Amino acid sequence: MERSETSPYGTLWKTWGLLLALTVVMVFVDVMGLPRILLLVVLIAAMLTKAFFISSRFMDLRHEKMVVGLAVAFSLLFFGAILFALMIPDGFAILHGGR
Amino acid sequence: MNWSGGVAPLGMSWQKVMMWIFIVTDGLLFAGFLASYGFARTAAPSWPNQQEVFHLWFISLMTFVLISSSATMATSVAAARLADWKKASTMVLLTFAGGAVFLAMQAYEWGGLIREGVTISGNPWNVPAFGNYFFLITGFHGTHVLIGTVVLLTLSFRARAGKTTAAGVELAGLYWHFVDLVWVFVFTLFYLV
Repeated sequence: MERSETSPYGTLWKTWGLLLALTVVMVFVDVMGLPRILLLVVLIAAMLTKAFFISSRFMDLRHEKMVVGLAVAFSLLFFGAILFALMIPDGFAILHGGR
Repeated sequence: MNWSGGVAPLGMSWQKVMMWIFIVTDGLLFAGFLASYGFARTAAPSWPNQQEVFHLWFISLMTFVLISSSATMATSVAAARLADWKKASTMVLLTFAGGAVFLAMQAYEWGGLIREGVTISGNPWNVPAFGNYFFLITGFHGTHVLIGTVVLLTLSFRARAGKTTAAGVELAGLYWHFVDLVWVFVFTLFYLV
């Protein structure tokens, strides 16, 4: 792959700073005591943002063919979401004595 | 029938394709663990308050160490591509150090919890699933880190001796970033949520 930047290191350390900043925000939000639903939304959004930057910048998916990134993201997010969508409601059902 | 995909339809070596397939399957393993943990947690009438059970600043420090080791690994891959082998091997060694520090911190955390009476079948808060999933998930992740440190140490010597290629460093890098990626999900879903 041809790269336009002369030094590739700058982007990597910027990504590092971004990931750390997101982690600090997540911990801060967690101890702040937000309403549960809001906390979940903020944390999961931050988590997926971190995952995006690690896979696109560190794992270099942005320089691969787009189909590779799409295949990886689709497989993991889609099947991961199915697992959660199938199992979590059952957990609530058991807790509330449903059958 | 006419196959026009050439020898590398994804534009990458077969080694890299295999590494990505491994990453997806291994990622699904962790997705399964985390989903079943979510199930056990929603089904449990109560769950220990993580801010009381864990030292959140310590876990955040572990996260910092792992993210930093991922950054040094990415730097190493970039250096190897520029054939700067001195920098590449030094950065791999730093990445190894980060992994070793992370493991030491995790051992310390496990030790503290075990002394408090947390096992895979019971704990002071009477939520057996808590200890069970804690040791399962952090244990599997820690094992991945352990394997990674062995790979990285080997790689740093090989890089110094000129026995590896940029593609080799990249493969080790993909694995290491994956370990960091899994920790992002474990940290959020187990320690924060």
